[in-house]
Amino acid sequence: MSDSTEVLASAPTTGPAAVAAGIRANAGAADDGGRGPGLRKGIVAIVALVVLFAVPFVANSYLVFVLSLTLVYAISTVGFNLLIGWSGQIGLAHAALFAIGAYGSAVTVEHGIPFLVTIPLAGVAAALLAVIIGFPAVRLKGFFLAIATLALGMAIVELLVFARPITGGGAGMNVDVWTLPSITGSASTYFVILVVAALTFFLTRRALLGRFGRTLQAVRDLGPLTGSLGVSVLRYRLVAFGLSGFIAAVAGTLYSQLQTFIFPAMFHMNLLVPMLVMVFVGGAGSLWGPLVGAAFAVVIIEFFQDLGDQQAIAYGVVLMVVIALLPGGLTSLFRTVRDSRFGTALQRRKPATPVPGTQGTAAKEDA
Amino acid sequence: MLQTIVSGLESGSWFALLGLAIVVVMKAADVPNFAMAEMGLVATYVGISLAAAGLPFWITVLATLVVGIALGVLIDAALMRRLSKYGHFPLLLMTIGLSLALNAVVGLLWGHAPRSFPAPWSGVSVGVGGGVSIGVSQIVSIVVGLLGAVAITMFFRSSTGSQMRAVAENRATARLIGVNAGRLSAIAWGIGGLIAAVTVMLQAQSSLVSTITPTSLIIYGFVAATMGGFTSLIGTFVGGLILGVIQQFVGTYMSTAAQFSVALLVVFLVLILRPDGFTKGVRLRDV
Amino acid sequence: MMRKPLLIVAAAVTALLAAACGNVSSSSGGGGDTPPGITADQITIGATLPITGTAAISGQGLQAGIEIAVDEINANGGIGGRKVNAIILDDGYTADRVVTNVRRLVSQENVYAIVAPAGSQGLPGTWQFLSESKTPTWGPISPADPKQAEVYLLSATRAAQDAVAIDYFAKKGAKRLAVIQQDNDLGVSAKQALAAQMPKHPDMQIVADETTQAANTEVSSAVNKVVAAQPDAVLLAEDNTSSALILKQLRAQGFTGMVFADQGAGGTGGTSTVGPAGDAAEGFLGGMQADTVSTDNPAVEHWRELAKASGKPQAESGFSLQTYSYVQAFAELVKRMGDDVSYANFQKTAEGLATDPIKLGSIPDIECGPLPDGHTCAKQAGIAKYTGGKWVVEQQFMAPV
Repeated sequence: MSDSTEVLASAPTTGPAAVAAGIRANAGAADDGGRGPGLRKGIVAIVALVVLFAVPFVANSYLVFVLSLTLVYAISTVGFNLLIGWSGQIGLAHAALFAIGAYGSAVTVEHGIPFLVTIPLAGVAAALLAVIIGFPAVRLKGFFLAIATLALGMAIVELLVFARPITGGGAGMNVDVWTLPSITGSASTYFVILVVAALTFFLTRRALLGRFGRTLQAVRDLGPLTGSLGVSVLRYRLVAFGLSGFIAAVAGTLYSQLQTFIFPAMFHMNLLVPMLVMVFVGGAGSLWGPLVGAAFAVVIIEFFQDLGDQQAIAYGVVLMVVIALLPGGLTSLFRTVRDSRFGTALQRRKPATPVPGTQGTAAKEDA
Repeated sequence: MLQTIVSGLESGSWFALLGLAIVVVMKAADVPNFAMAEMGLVATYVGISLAAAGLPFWITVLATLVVGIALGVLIDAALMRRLSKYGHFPLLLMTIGLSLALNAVVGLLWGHAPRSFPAPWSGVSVGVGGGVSIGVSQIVSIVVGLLGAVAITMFFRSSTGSQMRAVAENRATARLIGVNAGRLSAIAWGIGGLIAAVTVMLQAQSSLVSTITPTSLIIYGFVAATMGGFTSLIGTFVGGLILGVIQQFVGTYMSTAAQFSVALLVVFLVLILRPDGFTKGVRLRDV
Repeated sequence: MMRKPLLIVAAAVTALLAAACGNVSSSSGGGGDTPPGITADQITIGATLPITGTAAISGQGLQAGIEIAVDEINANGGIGGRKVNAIILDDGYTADRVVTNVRRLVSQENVYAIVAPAGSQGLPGTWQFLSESKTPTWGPISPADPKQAEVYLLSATRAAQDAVAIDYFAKKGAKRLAVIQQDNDLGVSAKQALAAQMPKHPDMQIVADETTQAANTEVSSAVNKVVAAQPDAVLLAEDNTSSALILKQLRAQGFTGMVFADQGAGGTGGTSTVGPAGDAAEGFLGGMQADTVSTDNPAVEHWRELAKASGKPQAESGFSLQTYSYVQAFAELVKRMGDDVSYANFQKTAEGLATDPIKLGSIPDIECGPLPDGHTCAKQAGIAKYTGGKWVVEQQFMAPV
């Protein structure tokens, strides 16, 4: 984790109604964007990218596929986390928006539009849809918003069934895989996913660490009170819906390339539940949580599948344990370790590290 | 037509009861419980196993109910209470995790084959003229559903019930006037487990249950609860029944494939037009 | 000071690129002269099955069949001296895990062929990958035929079974046919069968055509509507649970006509549907892809003995006989291939079966031919009836008219 140099700055979220402990626990993440170690972080990021880029050259196509799946889920979770963690709205239409991306891309590709073009197209379409879905946010809060968006999301998936002439209905449709010249399908898909994932993480990180992220948090924590600060609560909430919808659909387009055959039943609760798990296990409101959460969800399925029914039990139990013991998700565990005496001792041994705390606070001050 | 209505009322009473279970827990413990149907499934499977072992029918019914209550209380004490200070989201996720785990436990212990709860009246039906016959099990579902709703409403008019309402309305104030929120939360979870056990048992004596059935049951339960605004017991119960009948009519006169979409539409309309439940305003000093 | 590691990594990556460039090049897929997963003394096959999740009953049966066959083959010295190593993965009946598992089997476990995998709705997501890797897929359980060089279907598809059932209904004098289908690939099979067979039976008309939701056991309005239409026969394209439920409700409402479901949905030969349906199962018709029912078929009795002795869950179900037979047929095919184990020879030998079929006795003869239609290697289906608490053969194996 590249954010490992600053200690948690005191959270600006002592507002009246923080949505969840997870969010509270991760609220400091926004302040991690100190300037000092920026160069170092950039280098780490580039090295990580280069290593990831090299994977298909050395690993078999199964591992590449698992990594691709992890990255796609990570992208999608960035969007979901933006909505749930950063803007504090429990909108549950994410799986449906993901489906819009998958179907949007598959259908338009069938009509001759190049796959790479369909990625932003599907994203924009889903963003508009997400704003429409988010509109009830004006009236509904918390749990009621969750139920309304859940119902709308399910209705969207139902529509995919009814749109039989376009989508093939419940029986599903084939997806043409986009390939780079003389490169295997798996590797081509992986490269596209890697680029999109890098862009998504880079751009969201910038947005969330900047003014946008802080306003989003303020809207989340202060609610209507933000009005007195001259910020339109409604607008920020809807923008969060739209952005998360955009990201969900982008991930969906990539998912369809991985699955090569899609049908509506893939996008029901059976997808939404793991998506929630990824947000929460990674850490709601944290920056790198989506990656950790996605890796967790894929790894526990892939590498413990010999357990059979016990695996499903383990999945539920691990989820329950994380919720009960680590309200900030796994990323908060990293932070806890880092902030513990052992972690601090480790940090001290690196002379180049700037004095902890001051940097983060400074960054916050000049907002 | 008559058959359609009876079928609708039957499944409607399952939806209504499960909706009531959800609302009861929601009122006292402030948790939207996604594991409710699985809790009922576990209890029912225990009952089915006891019946298979040769125990008399009414003993197995009693055992099912006791398991339902015990499961509810246990879940509250072991998992939920410590999280309640964190708000909705972790609690909601906890119930989702619980539903996954319970479902898998059922699969591991009892397998995934569908089962039914054999009752003395299983397979018996009464002719009502016009070539239409109604299964006794259908009548049992409807009658028990109605009795259950009355019993719960009575309970909430008792002193424990009104304390529970106080907690739901304001936790801090309730504590000030000497209400033990922990005890009430345990009672609510116990009642929730009890109703869930009754619901799934009713479904199992008339139809089949397996590890798949909770998924759709819980969604319809939530639809019913939404119709009651997650607070009104009467609204939830009537909402569940209406939902069941609407479903049957949609299935009969439109298409079975449209049933689910119509249920979703109902949720959405209720939330947008009457977020406090469709009986709000008409309710007479309801709970 | 951070530059150095970066340089090292960059150098390492460049080296790796140079060394292993072939890994991503699409020209280097399998299918060369030496296919993976086969040595002088071992052949590795793989399958993905729904061993957990909602289709676990069928998955366990399918698993038992593969294991019984492999144990038997290995006890008799393997296939031409090669021991069979079967790798079975669990997909939990979810589509994306089917896709992941097939990739794992091919790229990580390096199987020679995929034999008897399940996952009818997830499997189509692997066809493109399999055509890239050239891995033969022998006897997948009941997807539609992708008409692809690598894929061989060994028993009547659901559509073929439904077509045979429609012919049977017509033969029995049924005039009014009702259909209850699930809104997924199961329903598509029924639609194909209806489109193909109904014009051949002008006397018969469809009086009710109901669609139910997948993974939803709310079927009562469909049943009410079907009963109201007063059909002579009902064709089900549903899963086990829904089939049992529909059967119960149909009989509870006094419907006495014929009810048919394909082998998967009807659990022909086993209890996965008739068990939960209880008394209502009397007279229920199930499709037969494999002869799980008769008691005088030596090939079936042989399997039954092995299945009993194995003690595995669902070992005596029809699903088990299916995969048992497919693995046996695979062994026979590999034997016939002789020393040339290349995928080209696999395809050549398999497509030659049209002239010299593999006759196992337990399933219809396997007579694959060249594409486009030849890879549906069996078109015949039988019909069994559940009566007096057991399954009996109602109609022998035959192709749709």
